[in-house]
Amino acid sequence: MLQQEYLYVLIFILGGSAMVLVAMLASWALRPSKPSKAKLTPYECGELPAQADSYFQFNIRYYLFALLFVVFDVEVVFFIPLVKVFNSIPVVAFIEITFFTVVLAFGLVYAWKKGALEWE
Amino acid sequence: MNASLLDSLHAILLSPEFYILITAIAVLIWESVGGKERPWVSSYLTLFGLFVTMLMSFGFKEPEGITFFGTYTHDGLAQFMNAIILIASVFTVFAASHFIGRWSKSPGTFYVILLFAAFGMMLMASASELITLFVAVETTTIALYILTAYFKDDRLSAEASMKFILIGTVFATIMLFGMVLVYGATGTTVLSEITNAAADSVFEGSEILLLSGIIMILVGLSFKITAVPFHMWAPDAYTGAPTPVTAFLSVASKASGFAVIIRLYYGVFNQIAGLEPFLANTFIILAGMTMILGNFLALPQKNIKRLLAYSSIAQAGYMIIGLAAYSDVGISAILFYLTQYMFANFGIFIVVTVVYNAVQSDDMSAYMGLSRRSPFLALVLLICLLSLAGIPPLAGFIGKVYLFAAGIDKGYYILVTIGILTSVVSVYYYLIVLKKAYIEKNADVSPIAIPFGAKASLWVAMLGVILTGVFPNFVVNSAQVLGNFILANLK
Amino acid sequence: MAHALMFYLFAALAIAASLAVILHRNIFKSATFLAGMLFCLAALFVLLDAEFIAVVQVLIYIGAITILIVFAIMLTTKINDEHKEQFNSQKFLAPILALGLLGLILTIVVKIQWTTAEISPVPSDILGLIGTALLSDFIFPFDVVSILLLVALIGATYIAKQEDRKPLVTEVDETGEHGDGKVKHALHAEEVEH
Repeated sequence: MLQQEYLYVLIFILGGSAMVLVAMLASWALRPSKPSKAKLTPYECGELPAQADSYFQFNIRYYLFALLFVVFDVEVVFFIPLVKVFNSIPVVAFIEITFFTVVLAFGLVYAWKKGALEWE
Repeated sequence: MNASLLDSLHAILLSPEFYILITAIAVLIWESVGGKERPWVSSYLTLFGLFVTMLMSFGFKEPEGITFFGTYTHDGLAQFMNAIILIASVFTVFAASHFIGRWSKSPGTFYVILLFAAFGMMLMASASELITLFVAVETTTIALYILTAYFKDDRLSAEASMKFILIGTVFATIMLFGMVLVYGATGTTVLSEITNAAADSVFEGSEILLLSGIIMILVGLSFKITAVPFHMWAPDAYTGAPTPVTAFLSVASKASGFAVIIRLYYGVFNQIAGLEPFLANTFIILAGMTMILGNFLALPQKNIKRLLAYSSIAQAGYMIIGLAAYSDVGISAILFYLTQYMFANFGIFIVVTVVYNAVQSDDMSAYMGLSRRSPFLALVLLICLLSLAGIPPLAGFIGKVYLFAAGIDKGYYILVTIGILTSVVSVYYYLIVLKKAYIEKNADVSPIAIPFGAKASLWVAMLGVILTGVFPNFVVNSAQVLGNFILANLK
Repeated sequence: MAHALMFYLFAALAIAASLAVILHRNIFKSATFLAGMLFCLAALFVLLDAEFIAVVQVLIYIGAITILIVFAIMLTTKINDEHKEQFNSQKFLAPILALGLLGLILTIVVKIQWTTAEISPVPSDILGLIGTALLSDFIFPFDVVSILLLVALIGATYIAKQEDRKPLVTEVDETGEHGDGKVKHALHAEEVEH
């Protein structure tokens, strides 16, 4: 059965997690526990980090790049099955892939010309 | 490449959808290359493309009726809805040319998205397969979300789009889930095959799967035609959206929604054994609730766009009577009603854009003394509002009589009584607007300038309302022919 | 047996993760749980022999959509405030509606006589079959999808782009109720420059 191949994946995941767990448990069991206030500070050299919220507003341009990425990600996903059958129906597959790419290229040109790809 | 694919390709290259797509991409290229300096070119290019598409769509006949393996059908229904959507797009361009350009810094993109929205709507009217239908619906709604948020720094516009997106996504999900259930029950997504597959009843219990699927699809589509109780997005989205978009939403979006419902309901769902009485009752309840709620909630409104939003919900309620009737008269009544509703609605909304440009307000008080400031605007408002209210001899009266006749034919006396009574209620709130425009006085009596494009489209809208009202024969006849044809063909 | 066990394991994990998405007070962690939930769904797809869908699930949903959501969270100021009211006035209505939908689906599941006829084996070349379907029966919607993506691309570019804002509507919120006043001032200054 097909899923048997995924057994290896499962074993890999379990083995990987087990290693981390064993390492952490071992160090927890071996190390002495002597908590002190200085040890709880973020940097043990004594420096305190800036007292600000670590969540701050990102530049919206990151979002634009992420959106562009998603659109082309979806495009690639659609291409995977087409590539698989490219040898059996080459003409239609070629036309389709070209059409798809060209249509999205118009969008990319628009984004580019509107300055969405520039950082300033 | 096999022969049927070549035939399909040949058909699609001549189809109106293809022309509108070419126009959209041409405007997009212009927007990318030189749009910043000369944004007005975009609007002219859009208009040109729309007119070419209109010419092409009237002559378009595809070779075999159904192309691309049953996914695309261009029949009389699609042709009629295409005409409505294209004319509505032309009106929107005229409304936008003096409105979007004034209040937005990059007006060109508006036309690109508008064309893509029109493309999606036309495809909705022609899609005869569930996946194609869903992709078309999504293309349309995504374009409409963007149009609604076009004034992206305006809080109302952003809020409207946000609500539209959230609620729209929920309903799209429901519709998609319904489609999945229908596919699960029948094993096909092509509409013409669903009926046969349902008759064979693939396995025991598939009826309930099919019925749930159909209900979910209808719920998703009721969102598009703003039928109560799936209307809650409409007042906020209509109020916050830029006014030309509101007009486009209330006419073209609704027309495409009705096209899909007519195709599914008349062509597929009603053919499935035992479903007809249930679906007819559903539409009766929807129609009753939509007419009552739409009209009564319009009464206290102080903002003209919000009032028109509720009025457009109510108008959808009247059209659902035609759906419930399930007859050729019902279809032709819907088609006729959509035609006159388009003219009247665009007439009013273009007046709203002109008034907003002059006084920067959509409040009802902005309309005080309009008859002195601009007699023409007040006249258009008078004729279009009276037509929406259904006062003879205007087109709205004929449309309502036609719909009510379709209802009476089937013996829906209570529903028709509700329709008549709520029409009387609607006269009241339409008259409030007219009272402001004609009777109340305004300290500001400076005349309002009307741009040429707006003036031309206002004339067309007003004459459309008057002519379809005084000489309804032409539209009624073609609607009748179409109604018979569509019913015969879909069955 | 092992198959059923895996199914129940991943199904339970998916339900737990999706509950964590809506119940966790920190929205950033909710997004992480969402990724976990989507991964469980991918595992379920694998169990159903739908490998391509599983890969798409990982590639698009975990690889792209979750990232988008995280970006959206980071773009929004003060969204991480854990003291904010998490539910609104609909908190009683919403679960009733959700349970109603669950009831509907359960009714469907119970009412159907699930035929136990032998299930035809899943064809080995699913990917090829999808490719063939995309190039024959569903070639038209496939093309329209490219238009859909184009519209989304243009719209996203238009909406997310800051340059073309018209300065007259930007109201600076002096009360600071709706976020950091300083950030808004900075934005405003940038717009005036343009």
